Amino acid sequence: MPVLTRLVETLGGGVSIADASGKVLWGDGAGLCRVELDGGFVAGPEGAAQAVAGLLELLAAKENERRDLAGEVLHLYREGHLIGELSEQLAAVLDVGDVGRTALEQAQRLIPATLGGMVVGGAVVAEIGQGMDLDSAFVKSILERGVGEIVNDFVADGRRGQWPAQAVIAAPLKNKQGTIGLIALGVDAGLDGEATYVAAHLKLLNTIAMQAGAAVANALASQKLLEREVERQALQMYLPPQVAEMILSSGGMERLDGVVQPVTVLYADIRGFTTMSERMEARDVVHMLNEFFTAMSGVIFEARGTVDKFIGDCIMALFGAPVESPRAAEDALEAAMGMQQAMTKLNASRLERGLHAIEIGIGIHCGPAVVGNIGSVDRVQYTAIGDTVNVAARLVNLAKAGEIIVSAAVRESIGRDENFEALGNVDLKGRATQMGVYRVR
Amino acid sequence: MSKKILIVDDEPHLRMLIQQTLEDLEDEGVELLTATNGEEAIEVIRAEQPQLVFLDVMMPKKNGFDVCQAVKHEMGMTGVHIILLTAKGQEFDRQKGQEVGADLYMTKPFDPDALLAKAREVLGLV
Repeated sequence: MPVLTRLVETLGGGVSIADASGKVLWGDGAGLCRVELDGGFVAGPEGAAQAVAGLLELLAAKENERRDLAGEVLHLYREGHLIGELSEQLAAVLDVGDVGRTALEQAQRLIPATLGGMVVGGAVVAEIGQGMDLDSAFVKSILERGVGEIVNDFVADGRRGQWPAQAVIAAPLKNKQGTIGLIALGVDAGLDGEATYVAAHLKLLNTIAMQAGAAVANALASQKLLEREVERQALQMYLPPQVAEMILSSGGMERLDGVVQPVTVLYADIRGFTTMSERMEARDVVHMLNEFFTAMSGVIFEARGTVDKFIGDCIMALFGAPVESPRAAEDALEAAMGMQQAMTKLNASRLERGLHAIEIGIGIHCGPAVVGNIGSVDRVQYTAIGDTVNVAARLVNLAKAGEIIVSAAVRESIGRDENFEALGNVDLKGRATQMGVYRVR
Repeated sequence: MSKKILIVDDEPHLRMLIQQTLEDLEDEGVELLTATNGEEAIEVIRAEQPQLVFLDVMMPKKNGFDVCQAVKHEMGMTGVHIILLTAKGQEFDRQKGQEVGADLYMTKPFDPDALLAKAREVLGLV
């Protein structure tokens, strides 16, 4: 070092610098007086040796300061990089468990931990090690207060519950409404040495928790959207779209659990189906039925009805359920007439294709019924049951090809006379009293 | 042959950061050298012959590509492992990087752990 050379010359020369083992680093090795330094010594004439030693000490101190500062800067840089990477990774994640695992993984890179976990909605969604005690007063207190905490002597903390940690650090996950969970890290009790969490750790964990909180809120929202969509698709299979939307916006499928309400029930079936199908290939029977059902369903939906079920060659439809309607009987009649028209059209097409025409009969009755999701846990159907339904089924049996038969109740509900031809009173199987029935002209 | 790493970047804080990241290697006998621009880098490489060079791409006068080209092709020092450092979001010309003979490129802000691991790998100090 030229500066050092000049300095030593000015001081009179004869100074050398050696390391702790005596190896000469600079100078000629001679020297009367030794001045000890951290890591070595300076030898030479007293004054000169001391001056040089003083200079070296100062330079070393400055260098250490620089390194400390550089070390801190590097640490901050690492934190910044970690947050950036976490952001990127979380952007691609839609599962709450994955958010937890990603956040815990990244957090562990800069916060020492052997235990930990993320809690969302009262459940542990991701864990490091094991044994995070959800029921501990500590967890409860973080969730309640919504503020992060460091407890370096966790063993002595009364809130520890069953959690085997020596020191813990926790930060709440938040969304707009409030605290939705927490992320916590800890070190096992029984490890040598003490882990001490400091404010800088908590600051970092809070930042990680913020990002994780946002990602969790996102994941939950998109999960909800997905569930909604599944529900919508399920409902749309047997409900006209506008009714499906109405159900979804007023609380979803739970609303369909069993009520008694006035409904109008329409049955339509194929005349002479058994004979017809005996003469046909199985595949052609299925094609025929599908054509029939498709044509009929469209008309039913357009008249604001609900397709309840297909039974063999028969369609059962409901009007005024799930959503009650004063014009349910009118809608049913509208549907019935539309269905007969649709059959005429379909038959023209079928004859062109060299297929048999299909003749249908329709029966309509209205009255109270039990309506709701009926079935077992695995197989539920939205349907109506009761006397009203049974009567409608009897009425369709009375209908000949191309006919629409309705009960007196339906006629009354519609309120107009002209289109109905009285057929008198009939005995219906299983009923004590007779019922007035009408044919639609 | 003693192990040397050269850090080339015109921004002083980045030189300091990379030095600090590789600090542990100094205790393992690696010498960390620095250069502040392309021309200085070529001089240092010629004189000191480091095994590994971290080379910033965006530098005034001679940029990282030019240095790499000079070292690998004109000076024929193909044994020097050169890692180009490029800012994230900057359009990095991978094709050009390959043409000039760069061994790897890393985006800034760099991952300190990845940088250190790479240095260990190149120097055989795993």
